[in-house]
Amino acid sequence: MTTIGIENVSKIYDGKVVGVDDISLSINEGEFMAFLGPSGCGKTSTLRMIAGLEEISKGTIYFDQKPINEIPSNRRNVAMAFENYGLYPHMSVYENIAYPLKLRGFTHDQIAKKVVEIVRLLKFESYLDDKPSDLSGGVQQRVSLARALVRNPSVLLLDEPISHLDSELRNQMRGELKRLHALNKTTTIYVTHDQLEALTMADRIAVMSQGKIRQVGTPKKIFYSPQDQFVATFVGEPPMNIISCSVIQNEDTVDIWAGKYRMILFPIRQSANLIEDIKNTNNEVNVGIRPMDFEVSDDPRIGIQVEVRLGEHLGENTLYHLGSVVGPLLYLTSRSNKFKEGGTLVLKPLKNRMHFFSKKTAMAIKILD
Amino acid sequence: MSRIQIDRVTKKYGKVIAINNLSFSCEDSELIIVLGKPGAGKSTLLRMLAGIEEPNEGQIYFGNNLMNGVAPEKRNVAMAFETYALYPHFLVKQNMLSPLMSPNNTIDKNLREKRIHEVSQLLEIEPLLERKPSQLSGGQRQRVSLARALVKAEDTNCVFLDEPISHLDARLRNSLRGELKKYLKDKKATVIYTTADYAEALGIADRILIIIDGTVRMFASPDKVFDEPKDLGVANMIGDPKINIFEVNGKGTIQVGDLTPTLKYFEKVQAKYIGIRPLDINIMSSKNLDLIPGTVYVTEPIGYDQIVRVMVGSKMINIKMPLENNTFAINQPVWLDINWKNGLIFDNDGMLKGLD
Amino acid sequence: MDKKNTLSKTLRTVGLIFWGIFALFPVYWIIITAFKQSKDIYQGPFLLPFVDFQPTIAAWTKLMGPSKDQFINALTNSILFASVSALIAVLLGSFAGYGLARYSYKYGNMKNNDLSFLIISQRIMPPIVAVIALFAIFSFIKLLDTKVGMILVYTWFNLPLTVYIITDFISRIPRDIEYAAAIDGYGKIHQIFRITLPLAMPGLTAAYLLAFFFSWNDFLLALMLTFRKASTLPIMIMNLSTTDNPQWWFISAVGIISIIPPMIAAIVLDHFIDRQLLSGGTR
Repeated sequence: MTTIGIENVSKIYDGKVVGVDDISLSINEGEFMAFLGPSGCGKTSTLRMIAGLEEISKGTIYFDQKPINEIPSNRRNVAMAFENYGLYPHMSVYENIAYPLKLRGFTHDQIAKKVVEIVRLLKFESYLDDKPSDLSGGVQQRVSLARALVRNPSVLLLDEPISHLDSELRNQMRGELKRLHALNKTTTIYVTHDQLEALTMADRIAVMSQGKIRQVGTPKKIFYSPQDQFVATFVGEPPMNIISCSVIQNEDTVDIWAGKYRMILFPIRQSANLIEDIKNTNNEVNVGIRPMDFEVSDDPRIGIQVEVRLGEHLGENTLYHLGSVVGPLLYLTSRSNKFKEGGTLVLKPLKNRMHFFSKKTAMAIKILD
Repeated sequence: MSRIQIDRVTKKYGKVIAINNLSFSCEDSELIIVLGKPGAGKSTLLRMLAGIEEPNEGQIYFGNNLMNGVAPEKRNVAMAFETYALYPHFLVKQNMLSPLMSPNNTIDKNLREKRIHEVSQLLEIEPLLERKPSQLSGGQRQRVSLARALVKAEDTNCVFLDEPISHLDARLRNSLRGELKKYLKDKKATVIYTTADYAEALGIADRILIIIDGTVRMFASPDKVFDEPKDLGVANMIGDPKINIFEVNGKGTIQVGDLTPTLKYFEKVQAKYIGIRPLDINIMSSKNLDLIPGTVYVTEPIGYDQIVRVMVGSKMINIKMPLENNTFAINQPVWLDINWKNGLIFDNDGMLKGLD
Repeated sequence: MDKKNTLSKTLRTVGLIFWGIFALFPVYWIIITAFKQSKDIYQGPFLLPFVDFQPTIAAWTKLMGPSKDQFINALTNSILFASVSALIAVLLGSFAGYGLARYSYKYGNMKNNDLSFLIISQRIMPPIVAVIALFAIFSFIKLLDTKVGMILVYTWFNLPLTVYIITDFISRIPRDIEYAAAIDGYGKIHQIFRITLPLAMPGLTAAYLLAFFFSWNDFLLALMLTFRKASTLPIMIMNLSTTDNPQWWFISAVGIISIIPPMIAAIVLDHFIDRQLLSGGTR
């Protein structure tokens, strides 16, 4: 159970390429922290610096308030499960998992007990005698995890551990990993590019892009109140629509226009904050609306007209690919709402689910509503 | 563009039967998705259609032409391999040009550039054209493999895509699904596409061919597959989270973990299994003796919704519900309100009986 | 921490220097010997030119003068035999390699592995066992001391090696890449020349070089099967060494020249040995 402090840490490759750019973050005891971002955003580099596999170019990393920059990997008491598993090919599954315990001088019986415990938890008892090359990806991945967990490390580092599994197994493992963490409460850092994994498993998520942290928060906060356009469109599937709009203030309403359509309006009484925050934007904003946050407009004066290009069957919902004057849009709705391909309809956003972003900075404009 | 027909085809590798007496046919310009778990036989099927492997028994027809024994180069097909199979010594662009420049090719020279441009735009690989495969990431390589198959999609008898987007980032996978479908429909290509991802199948297919252990279990439209899964095996593959299957014992009692709630409803219906969708279960946090007690195993929030998995005895039950105002803790005792009326009924052989 | 690093670094460097000297010394020795006179050799060892002894080109003038014909004959024979026999061995090896890697054979009880073994086992037996028989056969068919005969012998000698290497190389080329070419519309011949051969080139080159080196360095076969006309460099060197007063400086000069053609072959062909050639092709 360790706290981790990351203070102004950077990673620079070959003196020029900045992989991680001056990030600071603190991770609480027993927390499950996800580093989420596209490839190249710096999440794996950061993880590797915490593990000690990469030198820290600038800044300091603390474990329980003690700097660990100079401490080599094998003395940091971190355990890591790698994206490509890194299993010892010449050892059986049992031996692979037992190895870290052997190195630390546990007795034969202690090792057996711990290995069986973790293998039962991860549900792959029948494979104990097999060699890694005989195993499917799903089992290899669990062996890799078991090997990391069996030591009860102070920090557990997971580098995209389920990305190479088939979708069914991935779905299953998300719940298992979360529950595992709830049971052993090890401080965990989980690196992934899949926002679904981060949302379902993490206590908090650090969304990264281009070497910087864009936002840190609980999954709920990140999803409901993204701080900038990147986070808004990266988290949430299908991705949020970003619509270029103008805000026109009238006597009794504040109207949001998308192209030639008045998409939605707010009564002036409720919009004091809105007007205030938008003041500096020259009345041009980007409005973010998630595909599930539209509804069909019954009022002819309000809403944006769209044409249906394609309907994608998504189980109990249908995802409609729409065309509009402001570009392509996505609309997710229950299957019972059927719209024909080639047809048109008029949509308006749910007022309390709208996000406003500055066109210049792409940062969220604070609306207290 | 061709009608594809497979007639009682069997394929064995030594003693292992990969494809077992399989038959199906699809129409010209149809987009068929073959859905199955890893190892079900999807790749084998595709390779036989492409001519890379020959069936031990059975016939394959493209239109009226028997294809058994015909070499791949004579079948006029395109394929995106699951292993990518890129030419490592050619640039990406040359990889994509390869199908357009083969001897006996009928594609107009002047159209080559246009095709390359169109496909590389669709798959977002334009900046990579002058690179070699070894300089690409895994996801990029997969897209190049797909691109090579797409450049001649409109001219072929059939396009075979073997899990073409399975190794791409989640975002790209989701966004490409719709784009890919549009592109293939535009080109009027006949496509047979394999995947293990049911969402991909539902989203893209005209019809879905579900294969379990080398046999066809169901071949129908996404709507039909989703609403009326033909048997337990099929029902088990569709949906995230999975549909919950309960056993019905004797007269009107259902085995739920260690409990056997009696439901009058089922006294009339002859059923062995009932499938309840995750959306048809409600969770109560306060004790209610009319409902089924269980313990929360884990909760998985996904945006506005969440998946809650509840253990009733040794059985795991999957529930999907809105997140707002409904938070549960791990190991919290809860009571389940199951909407049995909406369930799917399966008979003794595991076949769907008709909805109620 | 730093101290430990520099100490181990220094030790490593010193170790490498010693090893370098140990490994390269014979080459150095041969080179300076080629520029010595007899007195330098018998009064030696003299290690440094201009310091211990005065370099002279006596050996070289002899090489280009009175011994010229013999030398040129040996040199051309060596080059001819090595390069041609290696080439034929690689050509035949490619055919065998492609067959064994891509097709399944069955002759009676014999399958691919048995056929491979049949070919490769030829080299398990030390050539010295076969040499007497070869002498008799060559004598009978009048191939003794002929260029053709030597090329044939070296080809036989190298074939197991080339078949082994090339079969292995081709089997490492993922079949799916050839299938992809088939699906693109290319027939078997195109597949082989466009895909298989270019991708097997590192293997073919390596096989060629090894065959070349083995032929070049061979002493036994040349000794037994040649007299004068088809004599090679190793034989010439041997002849020079077995007199009463071997002229070491002259022998060294010949030795230096002997190193050069294989070196050139290796340098020129190194370009084709791209170890990463298959990377990126498959998952």
